[in-house]
Amino acid sequence: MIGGGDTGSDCIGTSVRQRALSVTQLEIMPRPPEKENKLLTWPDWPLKLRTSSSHEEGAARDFSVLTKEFVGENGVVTGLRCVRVDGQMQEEPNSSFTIKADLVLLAMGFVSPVREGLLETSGVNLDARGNVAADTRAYISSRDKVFACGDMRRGQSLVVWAIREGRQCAASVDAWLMGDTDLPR
Amino acid sequence: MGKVTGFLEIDRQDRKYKPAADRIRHYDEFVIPLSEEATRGQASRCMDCGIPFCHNGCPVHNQIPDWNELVYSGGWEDALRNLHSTNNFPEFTGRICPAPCEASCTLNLQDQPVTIKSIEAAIIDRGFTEGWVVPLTPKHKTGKKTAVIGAGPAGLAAAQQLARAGHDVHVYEKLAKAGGLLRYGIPDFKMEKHLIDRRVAQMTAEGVVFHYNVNVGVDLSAQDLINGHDAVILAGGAEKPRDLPLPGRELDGVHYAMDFLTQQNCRVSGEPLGRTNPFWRPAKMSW
Repeated sequence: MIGGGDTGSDCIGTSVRQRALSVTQLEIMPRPPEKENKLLTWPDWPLKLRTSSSHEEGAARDFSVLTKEFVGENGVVTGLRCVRVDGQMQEEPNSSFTIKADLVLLAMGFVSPVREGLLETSGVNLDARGNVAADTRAYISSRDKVFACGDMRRGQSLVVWAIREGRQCAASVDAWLMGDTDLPR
Repeated sequence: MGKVTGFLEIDRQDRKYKPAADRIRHYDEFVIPLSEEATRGQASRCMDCGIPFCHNGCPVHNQIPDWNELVYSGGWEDALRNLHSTNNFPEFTGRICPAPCEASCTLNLQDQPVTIKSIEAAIIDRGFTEGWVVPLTPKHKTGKKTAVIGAGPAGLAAAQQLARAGHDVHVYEKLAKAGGLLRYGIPDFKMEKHLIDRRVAQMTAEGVVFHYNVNVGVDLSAQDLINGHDAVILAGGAEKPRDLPLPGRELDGVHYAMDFLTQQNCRVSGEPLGRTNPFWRPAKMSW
């Protein structure tokens, strides 16, 4: 797995259940601290090493690793060529190494909603990141009658943010349709 | 605050997992719930802070100290009513939320935070077991027709709220079932899919109409859909994965994580793999 987040973690648990011989997760950022300094981070979400149930099921984790090339034979992947990087993602000299792999999964996040299809044909304006442009008050897009919420409006995020946006967007739609709303925000 | 000295007397105790050697043989959930007694004890650790930072740590602003007290005192049904007042789907977040509420719990400053996520899951799981989760149909209909595009958590939450406000709601989903990444991304071992099905059943009973296998903008004109409704919500997610355009990217065996997770989720559910997004899917993955 290339990418050290939750999607990569889900791929680990799934690969282990598919009886992979070995599973390795690569992360480009440095290994975070085991514990946060709570007096500095609280009440915010701290950066710290998070070990999921899938990690416990048997996966090697490597940090500060940048992939340089997918290596293969006869059109099929056989491994990765990587280098080590520092905290600024600059390559460490003479740090090149290879990892064997029969399957490489890219779990490096999502850049935006898919533009082709729905967004192109509905004609709504997008923001600089390619999400549907709409604020978190009205949730209305640049087009009359058309609203947007969740990852399509804010970009990739948590399920709980999706629920919040769905609820708030519904309240905005209700107020827009009826002039007033009893739905909570 | 049900028990004034709860946090002084009781240590944090959270749900445990079944042993890894066993759980990797199947795709079922493996979290072992705490007993009712233990859950009530954990809820009693809540300090009912003057300024509860958990409210703001939680994006839906769950009223956590309130339902902690209700759980401690055994008022489970009232706790569920309170929880549902801010969160349509606590059974989802009680399983897969990273729980920013716990990071912001005041007890986390000098001690370990309240097991908020586990208490949330205990409340809603009990609610379903006891039959407290029933369809909430609107008292009157508005006659307004709305469409929600995308049946992920944002679209489902919006649809449920609109239906309860009395609007006609039509949800358009490009895949065969509702849930979005909850169903096709997150593995069953973290969240079993019957949890989504029973919510969809509740929403259907509340009047929401689901249209599956309809990719708006491809199978159905977005313009026609907008013209045919009083309001349309776009809730299609942020599906475009970050690529890694390096030498060898075209090799067989290099895939997007979400293709891999969707494949296994469909295997587990017995669903033939339908279309996901036709715009970036490389054609070479065999299902």
